Amino acid sequence: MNVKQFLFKAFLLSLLTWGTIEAVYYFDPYKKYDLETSYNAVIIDKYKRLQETASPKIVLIAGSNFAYGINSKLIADSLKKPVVNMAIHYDYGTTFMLNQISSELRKGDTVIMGFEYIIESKGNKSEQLLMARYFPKAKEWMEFDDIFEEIREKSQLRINIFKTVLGRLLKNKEITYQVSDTTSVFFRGGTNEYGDLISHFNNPPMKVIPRAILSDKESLKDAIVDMNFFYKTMKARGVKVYFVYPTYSKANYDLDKAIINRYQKEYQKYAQFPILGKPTDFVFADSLYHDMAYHLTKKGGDIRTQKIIQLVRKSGL
Amino acid sequence: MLFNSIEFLLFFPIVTIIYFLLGHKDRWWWLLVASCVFYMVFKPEYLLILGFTIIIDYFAGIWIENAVGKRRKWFLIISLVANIGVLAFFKYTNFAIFALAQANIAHFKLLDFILPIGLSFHTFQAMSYTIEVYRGNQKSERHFGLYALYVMFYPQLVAGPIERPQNVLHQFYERKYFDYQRVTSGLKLIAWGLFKKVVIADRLALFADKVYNSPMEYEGVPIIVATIFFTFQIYCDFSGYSDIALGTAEVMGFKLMKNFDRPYFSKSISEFWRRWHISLSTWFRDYLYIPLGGNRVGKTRQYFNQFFVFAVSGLWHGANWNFIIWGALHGFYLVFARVTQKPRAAFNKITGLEKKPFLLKTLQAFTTFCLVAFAWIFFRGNYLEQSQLFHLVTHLFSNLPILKEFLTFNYISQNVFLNFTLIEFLIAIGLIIFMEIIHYIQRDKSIRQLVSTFPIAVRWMLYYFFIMAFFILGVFDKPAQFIYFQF
Repeated sequence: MNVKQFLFKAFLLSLLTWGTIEAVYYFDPYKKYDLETSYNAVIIDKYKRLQETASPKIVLIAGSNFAYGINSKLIADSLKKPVVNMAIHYDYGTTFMLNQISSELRKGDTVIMGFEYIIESKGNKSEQLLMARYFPKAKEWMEFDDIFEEIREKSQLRINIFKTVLGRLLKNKEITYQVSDTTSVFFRGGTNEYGDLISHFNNPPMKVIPRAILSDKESLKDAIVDMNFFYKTMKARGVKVYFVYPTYSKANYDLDKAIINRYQKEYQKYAQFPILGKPTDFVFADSLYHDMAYHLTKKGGDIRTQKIIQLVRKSGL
Repeated sequence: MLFNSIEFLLFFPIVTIIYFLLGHKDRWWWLLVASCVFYMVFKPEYLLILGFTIIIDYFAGIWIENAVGKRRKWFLIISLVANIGVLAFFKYTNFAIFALAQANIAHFKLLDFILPIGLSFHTFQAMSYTIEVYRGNQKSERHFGLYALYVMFYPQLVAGPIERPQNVLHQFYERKYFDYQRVTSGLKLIAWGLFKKVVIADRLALFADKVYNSPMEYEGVPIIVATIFFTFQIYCDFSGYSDIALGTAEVMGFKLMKNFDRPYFSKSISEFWRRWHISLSTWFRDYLYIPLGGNRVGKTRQYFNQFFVFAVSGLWHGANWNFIIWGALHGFYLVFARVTQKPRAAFNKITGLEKKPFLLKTLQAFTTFCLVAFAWIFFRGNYLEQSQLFHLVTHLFSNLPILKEFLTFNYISQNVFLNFTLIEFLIAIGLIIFMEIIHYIQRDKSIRQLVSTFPIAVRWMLYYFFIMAFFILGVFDKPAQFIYFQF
């Protein structure tokens, strides 16, 4: 048997196996359902509002600490500007999240960034690709280190979807999500018209807020570099950019104080954008948190929003 | 470059296809360039370290061959000092600094560099060359490129098998042809190695890591479960790597030495070491144990030598007391087995076990497995603090439940499934059983040969389901490094 025949057979086997995975990826029977219910697909609604809201507007960007703990209506009413809460999940990373909003910002707009202490620059590519599956424009916001990373991440997504579809076919049971129920949180439709997450309002909060994970070895420098670049670009465009520290539950803050102080020093050292307040401004009693150190309840969100408004006003906006 | 990476998925076919397209005379430099690229993916500048030892050993080999009398020995010493010096500097300097500081003898600043990947492997392979030339078992290699390729041959460059020059060097001179049977056989071995790594080892790692990443939270049964899973994880991880290395070489027409031979079926620790990391244990046997006197010396000295060789073997793995303890523990097992040989034989006779060979063998295999698994705790505890490791060892049998408590779903779910689902646990157990069945079949015949006798439709169905199982059961979240890469 010659080399050509061997290569043909190898190609055929690869085509059959990977073809099965590609076929499931493109003809995923649950894609339509996921588009309507997936939390990643909430970007469709948020981005629509971002595009449709006239300038000057206030845009909020961060991970779930902003999704959970912001009352955008309160900000809009207080500062007399329309608000778009673009926050979804910290794991998208600063590069992706800032790319997400930059093309839709105009002169006179204000951006408030409130990234978590665990924020990374690159973010989780699987989460980003999953968003791009529901909202193809998200591909434009992604940045890969090299072609290998791109192939790896895209292949991984296909394999994950293949596994998920297989699992769902075997289970043959879908979960339904509703704002009014007392269990579900992360789903498209779980936010209000501003983009604030409201699906947890009905859900009972945890009695003890679990321990958050902050690493001694991590640095926020790369994320701050992204924010600096964004700030400079926006400044040239006439967009104001501010940063506020994320919220963090009291018990967790007491345990992670040293790390948070180090992060604060990093911000003070590297950040070129204005920072409103300090970390302790957003540390509240554990009873105001829903299920983790970053996730506020409705009441907690209102208190925190008031604090942001107060700081923004103080800055002269 | 990791064997389980996208980069290798592109690298391997490109290198192999061009290798077969080139004429025999041009293949050596192509493989050498490919090996350099393979190594440079980790840290390009470390190629210089490899280059340094390659140059020293290349000339040392020639000088040893040309010299007579004591000069031969001196050239060998130059080569060994250069190799061990590089190894000691990069691998053990910080360990020594740390140990001196702990003992309050001297305080130096720790050096800030990353350990060159696979350093212990290619250094030992290089050393075996000059030793064999010195012993007259191998002619010195005059072709510099081929000698460099002997050290750098990419399939075994970073995690072995640690080859001997007699087995490999001559193969670079042989003309290799594209042989369909050999190529597909090599590919099947690669596929099996990848399966062991990505599907079995990385899946078992989820269980083992859960306990070993927060050891203080566990006592008793969960530690036992995690240790058993790690015992199979490390086997699948390392033997998976070796299979991929052997398969990759086989595709191109090279035969590397077998590194594993169903080690967990061993009935004694000495048998275990004849089946586990064979290339390393034979290296220590030939180049350390025998020169120390081997079995030609008195019993007490033999025991000491055995213990010493295993402690050194532990140190070879890593500059950490954990590895030394792990090696010394195996040394102790071996010495203990030899010392108690007669009483154990008498016990088997009195209890009648001697007349029930199957039961005796099963008991021996089980005991050996338990001893090996216990020693792995020190190996896996490499990154743990002393107090955490101490907790694991001292709480191995703490808080064990009574049968009634054990048989509740809640207990099993938390302590045996380690809070993974029943399905996830069953998949992990099923994969171990599947692997051992394959091993059992392979006792008498090669699975690869067996599969090639099946009708084409059955064969293709098998291939299809095997690959799909790989995708479905594999852990792809992040390409996990092979455990032995760190050595």
